[in-house]
Amino acid sequence: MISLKNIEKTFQTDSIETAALSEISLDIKKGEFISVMGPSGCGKSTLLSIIGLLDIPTKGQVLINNESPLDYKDAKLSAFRNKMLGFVFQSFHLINDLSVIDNVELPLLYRRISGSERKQKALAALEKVGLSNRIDHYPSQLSGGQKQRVAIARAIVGQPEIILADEPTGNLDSHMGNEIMEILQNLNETEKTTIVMVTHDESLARKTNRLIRLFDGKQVF
Amino acid sequence: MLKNYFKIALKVLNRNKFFTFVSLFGISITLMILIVLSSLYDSSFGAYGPEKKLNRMLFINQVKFSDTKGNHLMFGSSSNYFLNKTAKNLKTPETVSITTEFISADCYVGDRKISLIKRYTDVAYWNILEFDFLQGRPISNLDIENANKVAVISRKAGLEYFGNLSCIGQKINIQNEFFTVIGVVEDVTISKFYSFSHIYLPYTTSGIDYSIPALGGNCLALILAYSRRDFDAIQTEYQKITDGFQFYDPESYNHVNARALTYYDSIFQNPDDESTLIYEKALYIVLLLLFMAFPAINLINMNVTRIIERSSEIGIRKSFGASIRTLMWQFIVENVIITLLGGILGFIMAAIVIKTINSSGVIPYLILSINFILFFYALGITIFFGLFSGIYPAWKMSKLQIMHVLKIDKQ
Repeated sequence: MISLKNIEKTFQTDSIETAALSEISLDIKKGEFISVMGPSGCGKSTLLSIIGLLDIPTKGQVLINNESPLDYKDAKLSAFRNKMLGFVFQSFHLINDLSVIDNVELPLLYRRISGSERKQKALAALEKVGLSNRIDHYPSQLSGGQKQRVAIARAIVGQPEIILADEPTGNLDSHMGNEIMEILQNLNETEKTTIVMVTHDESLARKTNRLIRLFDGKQVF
Repeated sequence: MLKNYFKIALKVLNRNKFFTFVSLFGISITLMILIVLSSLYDSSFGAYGPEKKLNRMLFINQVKFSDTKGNHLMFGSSSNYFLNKTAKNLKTPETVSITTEFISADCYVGDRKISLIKRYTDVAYWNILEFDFLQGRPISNLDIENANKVAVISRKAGLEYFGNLSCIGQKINIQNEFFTVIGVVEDVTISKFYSFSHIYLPYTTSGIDYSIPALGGNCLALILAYSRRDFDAIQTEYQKITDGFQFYDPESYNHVNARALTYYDSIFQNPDDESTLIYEKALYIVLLLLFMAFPAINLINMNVTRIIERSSEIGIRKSFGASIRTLMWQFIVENVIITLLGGILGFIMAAIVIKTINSSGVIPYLILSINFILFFYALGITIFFGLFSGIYPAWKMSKLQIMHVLKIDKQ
């Protein structure tokens, strides 16, 4: 499903070149739940953003379903990202000016579907994360755990094949963290959604199918 | 999608009240000034009041006489004699009138002095201009031929001199000469340079001997063409006539530079140099564009700042599939909404200012109004602001790195 071939990523500042990732090759099968671990600054989030087509590798190739979407022009790449990928961020990244339902509907705005269908799908997604009673609330009125559940509903509303979660429990207490993890596991098991999750939590990582460790931008095992 | 943009736009407006105030203030003030200025322009240069046939009219008001040696030069209004020998001989137009500029005239009611304005006219003047007669009639051929001491007066003159408008047949003392009132017309604003006056008299009562071949004077010619299409032909014919003008004393003056111009050109012309007119017009257009650009630049500046504030939202939208083009549209739509709101405010403010000007009498007898053409122009300008001020920030926004903006924004 996802194939990374010899990925390298370097960041160039005025005089210093920093290697964030080097020689990363990885194959992820459809329906896998993978966790990525490593110390801060080892390149976990960079790897996730490259898989998520949010960043371009300096070298190497990203294939998703045997397509090379990074070669696409912006409009096609955006449509591909919209259809295939859902993101869950550590700091939730909800739009504060929009209500819960409007936040969840966001990915569907970039598809040709009617307003009523959009609402229906958003309600179904919120139902899955147990937040259908908060649709008219605003992010500022929610707890951290509730915000992350809204973020997950937004990630799954378009039924993407891949969910990329960047430390989804990082800002939550262990109880909330476990709840979020359960939602992700459930999603993986029932919907067969492929999930790549960056985490610092060893116990959460153990619950996934496979663990990838990074150190200084390299895959260690 | 549009509903979502609209929601966001309103939220953004509400969230940053200072930004909203400065943006709306810039747009609405600019539009208000534009509408009021256009309205002033329209009422001064438009076909209103007695000058309803303005679009078919040409004017000769500034004439330059000189000699080839460069010893003599005279510039200004010309004499009745000169216009009679030149403009009156035009064959192409429908009719030609000669009138004087407006002249101050002290009128007396007993010992009380009333300062009014008079002008001398011929019969054609009343055919070309369409005065709104409240009482009586215009000056006739007979009045001209017999040099009848008759006067057509304005509403203001009637009210100030007689205290009422039922003054037909009554005598008015103009600089110690008595004239019988034969007509009363509605007031004309001073910005209507060719039709404004308080008192209109037959030119044959001025006491000037028009057979004397004077060059300079205080006369103007109003030319009514059958259609605008005839303007070129009239101007060419007039050029030919003035080229052949016989000077009484060629030793002093033997060259004339006189042109039949449209209303706008006749007010702003530099008769010495035709090209100046083009430069002046270009200058006005540039100034107008600059004036309109200020709020747009202000909006661009504000919007670029706003991008930093909204970079997280942009990152989120991009990561969930918004293309650069979609995001640009979102910004543009938001800006159009803001500018339309500014536009509505501008219209309301302009309407208040115009109403205040009308009722204050700052410019006597001037009645300003917002017409539909102006309304649509202003609407167009407003949308232009919205588009123009949205495109650059949107382009700048599209350059943002998604991960970078999402990382720096930790909620």
